[in-house]
Amino acid sequence: MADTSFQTDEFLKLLTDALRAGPGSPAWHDALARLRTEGLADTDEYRLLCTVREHLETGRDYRSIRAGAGFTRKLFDAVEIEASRPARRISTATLIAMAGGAVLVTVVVIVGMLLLGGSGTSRDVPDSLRRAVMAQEILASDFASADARWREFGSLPVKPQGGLRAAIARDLRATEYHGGGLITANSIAPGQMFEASAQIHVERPTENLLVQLFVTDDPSFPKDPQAANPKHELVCWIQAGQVKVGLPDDSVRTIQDRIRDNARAQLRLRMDKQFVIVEGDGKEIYAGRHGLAEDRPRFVGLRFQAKAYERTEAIAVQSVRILKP
Amino acid sequence: MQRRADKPPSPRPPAKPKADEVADLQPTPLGRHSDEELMLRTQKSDRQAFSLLYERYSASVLSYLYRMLGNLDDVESIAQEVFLRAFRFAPTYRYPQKFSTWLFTITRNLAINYSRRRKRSPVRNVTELNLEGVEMSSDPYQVATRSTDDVEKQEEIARVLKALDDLPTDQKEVIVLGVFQDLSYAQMEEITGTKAVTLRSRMFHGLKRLARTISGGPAALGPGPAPPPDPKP
Repeated sequence: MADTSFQTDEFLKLLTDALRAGPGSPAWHDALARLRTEGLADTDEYRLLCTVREHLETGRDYRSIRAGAGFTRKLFDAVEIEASRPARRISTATLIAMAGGAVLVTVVVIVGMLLLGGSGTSRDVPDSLRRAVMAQEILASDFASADARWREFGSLPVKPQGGLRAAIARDLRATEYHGGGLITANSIAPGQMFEASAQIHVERPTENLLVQLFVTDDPSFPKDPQAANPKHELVCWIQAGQVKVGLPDDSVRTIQDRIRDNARAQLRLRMDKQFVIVEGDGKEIYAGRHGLAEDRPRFVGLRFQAKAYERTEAIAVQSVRILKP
Repeated sequence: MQRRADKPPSPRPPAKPKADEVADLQPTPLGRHSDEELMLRTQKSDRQAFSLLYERYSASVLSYLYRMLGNLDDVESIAQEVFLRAFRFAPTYRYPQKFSTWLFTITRNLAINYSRRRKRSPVRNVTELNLEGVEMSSDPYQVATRSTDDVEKQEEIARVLKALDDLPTDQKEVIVLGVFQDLSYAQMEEITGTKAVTLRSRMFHGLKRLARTISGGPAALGPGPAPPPDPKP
């Protein structure tokens, strides 16, 4: 049985979910019901699979061990030593290796900046933004149902259905993108440092449907089909499996690595009054000035843009979190 | 039921705050914080928070290592290193990544490195190892006998558990992580760097191989009928 059939065959997905979750789980009940409906419950293959999974459940204690007092004491003695250690001593060999590495990194960075035509703005980004621990939740959504904390906009409808998805008309044939999405109903103060991140499931990377995470200082959108307001937005997006960010000078930066089929990706914007750090899948793609007005409140938004019909499963925003320090 | 008994459900169902409403972490008793919140405190060198994480996860990590490696001597030293590294490298943890995924990534990487580097030493006396529950859980026949009164079932359970060791490592790993450690395919994907679809396939084929031990079909996993349980003190 090819691996791909576990991706495309709904029954195999249901079955493997059940085999992982085990007896008593909702997935288990669903799978058994499906096996009975299809008259497969009594076939040897599936009966044995269920039996062996039940046996594993019964035998969960197998090789289950716990830490004894000696183990715990030994560990926390080591933790104490670790915590009280001011700094790790570095050997001469390590120092030489580090110096060599630093030279190499410097050269690579300089060459990279020259190639990218970078303005060196990342140097201006304050450490306080880079190092802030964003621990307090302002808003979190998994789009399981309609949510009053978000306001819908644009001509392309979106729907909460196992994440946020675009509902694209089957007859959509356009020469330009049509856009629509959600924007936060409440604003964030312009001086407030915050981080917005979106977990996105990309079933099949496509040029026809893209998804954007953006921050705007103007929550009104012009009546153009794209439902975008570029002069007032800092926006990053996934298009054809690549993460991109639009910069204040109207240029676009792209992460060359492509997102695989049926993969999850994360877009993350970390912002203060003047600066932003943009990451796609944990890789920094831009750090520098964001170009938004310094005195206007911020709104976080998600936008889909489509120029041809795509199945609603193609891209979904699974969750969004907005955090502050 | 080691993990379910020892570790409170994690993460707690998150309370949905309203917009601009921020949960204050201070007044909540430490034990009620999620793993991720405790990790944030550990990043600020809060050793009490770290010890709670240790309490929640030590049995899971130890059992995972024992099931994967089968060598108690390695298990103890690797598990020590896992938690020491979790403390040392706490600043590299990025909230709100799931703590269990982060910890099991460390555990798996260390287990792989140790397996490559070290020659296995003979199993030492259990009392020297500072680990508990070894006697009770190491023998599949004892585990099976404690689980059910049905003798025929006991035999089958023991054969299935024994056969786990003979599975190819990649199939064994997905069963240990998914079935014994309760990790989702998405978490396993993150930990192992293997696509979820491949993990599903390994789960399916791994369990199918185990099923052969009770099917009476071609015995691909060792000798036919299992020997009677060892009479252990």
